[in-house]
Amino acid sequence: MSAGPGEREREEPARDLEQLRALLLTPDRARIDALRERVEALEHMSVDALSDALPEAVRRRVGRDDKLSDALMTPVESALQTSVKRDPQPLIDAVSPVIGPAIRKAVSAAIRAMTRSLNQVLEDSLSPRGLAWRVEAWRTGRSFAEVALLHSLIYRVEQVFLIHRETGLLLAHAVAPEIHAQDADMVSAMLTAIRDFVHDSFAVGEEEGVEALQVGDLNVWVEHGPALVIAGVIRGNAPSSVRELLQDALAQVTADYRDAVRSFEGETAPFEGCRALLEPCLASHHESRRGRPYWAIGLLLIVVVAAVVYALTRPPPLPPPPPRETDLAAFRAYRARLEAEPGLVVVEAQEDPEGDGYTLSGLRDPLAPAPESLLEGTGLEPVRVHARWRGYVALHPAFVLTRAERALQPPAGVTISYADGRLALAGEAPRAWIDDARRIAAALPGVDALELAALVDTTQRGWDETVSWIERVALEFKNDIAKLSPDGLARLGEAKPRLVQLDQLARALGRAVVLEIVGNADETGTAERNAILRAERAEHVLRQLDGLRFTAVMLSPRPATDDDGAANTRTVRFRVLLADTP
Amino acid sequence: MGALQKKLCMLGRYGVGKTSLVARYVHSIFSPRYHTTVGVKINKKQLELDGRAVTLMLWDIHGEDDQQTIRPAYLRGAAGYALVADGTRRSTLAGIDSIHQRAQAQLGPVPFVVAFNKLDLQADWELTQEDAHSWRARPGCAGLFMTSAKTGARVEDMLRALARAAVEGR
Repeated sequence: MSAGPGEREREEPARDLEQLRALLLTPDRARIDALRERVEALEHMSVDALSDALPEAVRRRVGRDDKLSDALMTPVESALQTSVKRDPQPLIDAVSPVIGPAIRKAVSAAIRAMTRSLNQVLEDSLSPRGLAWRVEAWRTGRSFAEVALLHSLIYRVEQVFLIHRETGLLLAHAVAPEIHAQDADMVSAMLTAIRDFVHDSFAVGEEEGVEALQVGDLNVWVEHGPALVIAGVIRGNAPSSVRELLQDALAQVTADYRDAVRSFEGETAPFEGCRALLEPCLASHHESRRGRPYWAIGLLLIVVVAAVVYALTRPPPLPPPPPRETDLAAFRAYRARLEAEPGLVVVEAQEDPEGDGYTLSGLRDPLAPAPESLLEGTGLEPVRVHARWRGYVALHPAFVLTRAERALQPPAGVTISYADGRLALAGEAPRAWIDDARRIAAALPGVDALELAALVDTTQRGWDETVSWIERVALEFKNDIAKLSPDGLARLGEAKPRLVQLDQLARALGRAVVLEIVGNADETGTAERNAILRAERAEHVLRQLDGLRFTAVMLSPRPATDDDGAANTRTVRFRVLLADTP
Repeated sequence: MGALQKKLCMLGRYGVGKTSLVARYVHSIFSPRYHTTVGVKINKKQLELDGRAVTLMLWDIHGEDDQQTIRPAYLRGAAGYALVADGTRRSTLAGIDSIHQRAQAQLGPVPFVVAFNKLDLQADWELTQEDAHSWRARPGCAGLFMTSAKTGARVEDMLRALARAAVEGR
């Protein structure tokens, strides 16, 4: 029933061992059990769950600090290296859409810049311009590069603002042609606000102001006066002479408009004239057009030949350029003279940007004096004025009159006067000239009406005189003879030139004339005989006139009738009839 | 050019609606969103007064708060100004009083108008008839207007009155 003693002895040690193990391992056991549970739980966790949690985990971690990025850097780098080593194409495909355009842009910009500078250097070093620059560099002791840069400046003053300093209101505004100007009032006010802002923010002195603003290649240059501010908007790279232009304009406006500025209450009308003073500031300098090499060579040859000829003939010493202020004043004086001269209209006048003279353009009536002739006494060198004049017709009364005189060429004895659009002719002139004058005057600019009341038509007068002379002539015959008496013949000899004259006058007056040759007889003898005598005498005189050629006069012999008067004489008389008057 | 121009300033504490009044007057718009004005904003308005063309340059100057007062340079040369208070914030009334003193000290006796703005918020209105009377009585005051930039009420009247006073001079 119970176990034998041997068996009990074997069981005892086993139980003790079990108890010992329990004593030794109980605290760890719980931990091991917990670990086993975790391992089992991890084993049970699905890959799906991890993939859900991972992005969020990465995002949170990246938000918190840089540790994850640090940790990933090395594996990402080595992954990229491995990928490139294995096959670079996928990476190239991925990156090229981003990098390609950027590289293309950079390369093309670099090439463009290089081509341009290369072109410039090639062009300039070989062109006459380049040579001139070299001479200038040598003369002034500056480097060629410096001189070349100075001359290659490309800029344009697009707008000039004249601003009332205190209120920031715009007084005048000049804009270069083809420039689209923004709201000038707003620009003026904003420039003032910027100046105020800088003043208050950086505690600068009252007399100091913002002198330049720059955005890209757009510059705003500002010059301050005590009451006025002038601002030029410049595109490109302008030389400092532009600032001098602004200063000059500011000084000029300040001087000319002192009172208007002092009493300024917002009324801009008094400043309308300012624009003309601002316009000279709208200077510009453009890149010269590229010519073909043979042009340059041809030009160079011409220049050399001209220089040689010039040097051989008479080398007048070039006077040193006058100081700029006097020069500018002389130019203003010249301009004022031009503007005061009838028949000259100055459209544009400005100083050349590099101080080598002035450019003028305008309109000139051919009758106005030569613009160069007005240079005398101004002190301005003719070579420093580059003028371009276009013709126009001025309507100054003196000009209209001169043009009328030239066109009409009046004969001696005719005087022409002109006032208020009416051209008046007085004196004596032949019909043909009067008709011409009528036609020409209608085409003369400035002539609205032609006054002829005081003009005598000498052709008409000559006609009247000739007709009355001819009609007084009586050619005498002897009794019962149808041939002219010697007296009659002599009288006819006198009358012939008058008849020729009659024909000429008739032609000049455009008239068709019938010259009746009227034969008379006295009442001695029979009526039949007398009738024959009348007809024969008229025929006889007609035959006497055979040698004369008439073109406007038609000769018509007839016997006298009772209506003729003077019928009871032994004569032949003439009667002039106008064929075209009934 | 050739017209009459006047510089006018909008003055007041921050957030009273100066910019909105100008926007309503010049562009006929209102935006309920608030943007604080930094420095100055300039607007232009052309109008006709008694058959005469007048150009107003409206300098909308940043509002004052406890850190920042109006820069005097911005006021220079102004022919008049509008003092704007917020009808729903009584504290802004004291603000314009102080601004007014400084503006008169700098500009001399130029005309001004007073706008009690945000009239559309009647329920929160804090200003009284007495406030209005005390301002109307001040020398140089060309009018007091209860305005609303939101509805547009009396905005044009207010700025026209100011323009007229500025044109007619001191």
